[in-house]
Amino acid sequence: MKRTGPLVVCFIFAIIMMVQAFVPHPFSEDFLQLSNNHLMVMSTFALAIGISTFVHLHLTKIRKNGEGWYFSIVALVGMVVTATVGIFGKTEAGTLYDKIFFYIQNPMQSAMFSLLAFFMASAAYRAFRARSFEATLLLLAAIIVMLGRVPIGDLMTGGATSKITEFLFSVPNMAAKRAIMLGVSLGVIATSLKIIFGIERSWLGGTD
Amino acid sequence: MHLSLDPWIWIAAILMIFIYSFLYKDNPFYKFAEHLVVGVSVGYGIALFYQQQFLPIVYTPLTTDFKNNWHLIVPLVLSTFFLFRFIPKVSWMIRWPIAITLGYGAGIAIPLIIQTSLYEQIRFTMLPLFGTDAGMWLTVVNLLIILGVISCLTYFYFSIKHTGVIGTVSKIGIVFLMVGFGTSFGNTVMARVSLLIGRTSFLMTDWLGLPIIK
Amino acid sequence: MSIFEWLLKIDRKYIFLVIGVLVLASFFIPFKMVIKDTVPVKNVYDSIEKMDENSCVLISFDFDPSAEPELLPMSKAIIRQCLRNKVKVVAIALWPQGVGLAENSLTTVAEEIGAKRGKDWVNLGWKVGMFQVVLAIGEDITKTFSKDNAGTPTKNMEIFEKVKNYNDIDLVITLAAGNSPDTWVTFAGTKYKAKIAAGVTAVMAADYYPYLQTKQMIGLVNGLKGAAEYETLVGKPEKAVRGMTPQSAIHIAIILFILLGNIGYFLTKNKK
Repeated sequence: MKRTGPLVVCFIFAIIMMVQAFVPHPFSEDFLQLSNNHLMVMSTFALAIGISTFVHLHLTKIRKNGEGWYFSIVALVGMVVTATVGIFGKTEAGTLYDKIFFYIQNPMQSAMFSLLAFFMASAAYRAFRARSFEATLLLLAAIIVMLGRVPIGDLMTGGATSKITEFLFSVPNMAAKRAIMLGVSLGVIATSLKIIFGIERSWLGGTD
Repeated sequence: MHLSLDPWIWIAAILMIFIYSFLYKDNPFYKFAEHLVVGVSVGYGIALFYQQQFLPIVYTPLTTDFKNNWHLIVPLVLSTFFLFRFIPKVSWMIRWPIAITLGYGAGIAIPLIIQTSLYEQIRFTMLPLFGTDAGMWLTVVNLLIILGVISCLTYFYFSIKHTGVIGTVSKIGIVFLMVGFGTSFGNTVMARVSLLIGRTSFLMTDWLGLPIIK
Repeated sequence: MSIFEWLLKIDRKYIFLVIGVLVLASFFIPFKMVIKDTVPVKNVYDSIEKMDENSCVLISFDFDPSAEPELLPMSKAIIRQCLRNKVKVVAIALWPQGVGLAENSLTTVAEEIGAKRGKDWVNLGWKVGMFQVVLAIGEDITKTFSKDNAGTPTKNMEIFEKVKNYNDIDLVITLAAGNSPDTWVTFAGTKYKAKIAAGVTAVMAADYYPYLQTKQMIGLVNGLKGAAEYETLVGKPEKAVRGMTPQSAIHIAIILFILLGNIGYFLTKNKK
């Protein structure tokens, strides 16, 4: 019951939803929307798992006086203050909640990702070598795109790089990405079928 | 130069400088900002979840119009099963909502993925090589697309040894893949640089009020 | 150490310094960049331009602050075009942090144009689930989002008088930093025949060209350059256009670094 029950439920739901897709009757559409709505409701307490993991991790760090435990206080205070302001206030523009987002979270998070520009420049210089034919191709394509995607590239080449860039994007790149998409889709379908038929059971976790 | 007098802009600018201090080396200022952004991010999600998910789709329908929304009790009860994860004896109960979510997701996605990512993609790879109005150039482009897709798929097909014709075709596939990855890399450089430009622009205009070229 | 060996071992702090100085300095260089539009961007622009007054565009903010410098200017340019042409804008977010960014974009542009919340535009906020939300809009958007981000009930909003589901939405634009364009194409495009366009970060733009060729997407705005093209087309150059000078300078610097590294590599290799 502990393992077979969920496997059977998973199978039944999947088959119902698959059949539903081929039945153009209003009842079928209503059923889709009802189950869709139910699924959104079902996520209500799923969030609790994520939050509890976050809180548990930082509380443990504080309790054990782990390295940099005081930073965990910063994380928890940040969470509690933002959540409280949002829950008891409003979320639209101009509110305190909106200001916390726009002047604390937004600049820090985007600055954090912008650090990658420095590391990427350094990594490109170090690792981007024309060691083989394939590596040279990659290098050339990257350089053409880097030139073709900025106005100065066109200025230097009389408009050639942007034209070549568009060609690279829409022909060889498109063909390669399509092949990858086909492979990934087949993989997704195969994995889904394995889950539906109970061949893939790792999602059950545990052994009992 | 018109230095901003808005305290919020100052907070944003100082926190950003904390983040950029990482370029020198890892330090307490960076750690402070890093933990703060994670905490604020989680808090932001909690409040939004409460305001825009829990209240309108669970609480309000059940408290204001129970007669028409009683059925929401079923997914809500199933949702509480997620909490059983914290009670080892009954932690297996979490499998029920996961089973429904997985079954529903897989069932609904399979027909649509087949149509979107297989059928349509294959259909638009079967391109005309001759008799097109656009002439020779379109023939070359179409031929490259067909060759590219087939050769890349051959490269990913591992059930046959890559020798002879298959080996040659898969080598052509590598050429297409490398050009594809090269374009992705070139564009990735662009993306990361764009982020830096955006933040620098904020520091120079919104905070320091420098007369930059518009 | 010969100069070639030195070329292979430039300390990363010098590279950081060059990048930092270039970004800062290029903001002061009076260099006018000509920004030419590309076909995928023009297609998005044209499809909105051809819309009648009171048409409706749904913009989904599926990104967070990590993509803000690329996608926020893009969103402002698109919203500006819509509101100026009296095309209604319905914003939603599949990523929670997209809500705050949507609010910023919409309020800024609406204030400038004089558009009204609830009549010309609305920010519906966020709901959990990716494809569930996309599917739910297929039935009734006001049922899915019963209140907007300001807490106002959506049922009697003027903007929704003639807009119920995808049948009444003329274009769906996903501004994405993740794989939400796949979700929109699969669950709104394929299932409900909605017209889809995307504005994406440059990191992932190359992945969506297959959808352009199949016409499952009508257009694609690619990164900051795409945003700059859009700002130029709309006729109000802002942050994205301004960013093209530093962007050009750093691209050239990175290309030079790559070339230096390779020159050093080949010369030391030959020596060995």
